Amino acid sequence: MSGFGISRTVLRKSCQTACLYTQTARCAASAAAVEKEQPRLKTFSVYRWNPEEKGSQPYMKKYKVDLNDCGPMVLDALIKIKNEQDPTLTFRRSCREGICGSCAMNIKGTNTLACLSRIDTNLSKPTKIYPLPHMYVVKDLVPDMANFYAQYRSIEPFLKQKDVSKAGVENHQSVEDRQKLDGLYECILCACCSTSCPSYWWNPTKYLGPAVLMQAYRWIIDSRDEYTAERLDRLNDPFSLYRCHTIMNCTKTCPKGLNPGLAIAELKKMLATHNSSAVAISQK
Amino acid sequence: MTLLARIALKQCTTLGRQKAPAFMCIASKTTGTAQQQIDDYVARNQTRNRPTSPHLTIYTPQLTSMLSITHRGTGIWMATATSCFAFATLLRPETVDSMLAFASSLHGSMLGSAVLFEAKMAIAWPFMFHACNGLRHLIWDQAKGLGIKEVYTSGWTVLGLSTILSVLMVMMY
Repeated sequence: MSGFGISRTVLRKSCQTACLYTQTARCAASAAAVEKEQPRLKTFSVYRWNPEEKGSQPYMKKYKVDLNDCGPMVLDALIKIKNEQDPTLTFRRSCREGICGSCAMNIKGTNTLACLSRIDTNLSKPTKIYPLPHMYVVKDLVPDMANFYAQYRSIEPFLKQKDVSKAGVENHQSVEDRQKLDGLYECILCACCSTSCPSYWWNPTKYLGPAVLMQAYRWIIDSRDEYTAERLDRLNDPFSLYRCHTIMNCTKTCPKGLNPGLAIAELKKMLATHNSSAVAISQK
Repeated sequence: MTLLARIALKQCTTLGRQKAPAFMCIASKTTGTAQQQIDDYVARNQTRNRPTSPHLTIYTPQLTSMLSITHRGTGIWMATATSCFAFATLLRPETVDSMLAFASSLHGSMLGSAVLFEAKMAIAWPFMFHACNGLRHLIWDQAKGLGIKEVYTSGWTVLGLSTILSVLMVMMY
């Protein structure tokens, strides 16, 4: 009976080490070998700025993390640094599986989610981590997202209908019409695309940016929405939409593999045949 | 939390003459329009002395952004070059003849031909690149070829094609 008990704990232990090994993508070995193994120290160079130190300048701080004792993703390393080396390191994170969009930051020169970004196992090169580019920094890796969220709010990202009799009634949609929303509704608003866009860097308050424009498109093509013309009209000025010069950094960087660049191109196509004066008359 | 909510609700009902329904309390807690929020954001960040996170200097140069800036650069270069040349000939018409004479004098030597080739390429390549990439933009404006794979294929194609075409053009003239 007791023998069985022991073998169970051993089994559990070996299972844990196996998990550890699959995490670090290494071959399975005994627990003793782990302790003997050389530490694989990886350097992370992280952008730091503390608002509470008056007149302080941003700087890069280096941290060394043993990859043998760390999860595979950059977020794992950041959490490990915060837990074990420097509790003042500040960053946003929540779901750690690429669905909340909190840990969006600039890693190795491109915007991505820290939780979906594998640690580069080349130990000779430090991994550089910055906040999302061209944003006001609240602290360390935390940017002020208020402008981005207000812009999202400005496109009224909800169903709008003119027919009052439809209120409270189920909105039917054909399978084909529903399929048009695929590749658009999955956006988690992490702002990786918008903050990779040079046009958005230079006009952050006037140009809506790829993420918000893709959501604008998502509501414009929704078969159940009845404010298509008004929504298009809202984009019909020199800045909101037309600051897009099809650089395509947005699609290149999207951690969810979506295509905001294509959505913007579709919007431009729709606006080309859109009659603004007709909307103005209908509103009077 | 429930206590807070209860107090808030009580406040609403006691402050109003008639009993205001709970949803009206929520409605009165407005955060302003989206534009007001953007204005607040701008004002707040102007006074708080926050740094702007690094951008151009840290973002990886990639084909997407590099071809875009090259398209703009070639456009600016061609517009500047042609208008400067036009002004120069307007002010001093004899410069054209002297430049042509200088160009033919370069033809003789190896080094001269090389310099001439470079000079011609400096005009031909920006023209060819801008034309080819312009076609790429026209295709994009039809909302076609915007997948990231297609963007990269067409990008390398434009780079290669514009180089081949400009060399051919320089050889011909």
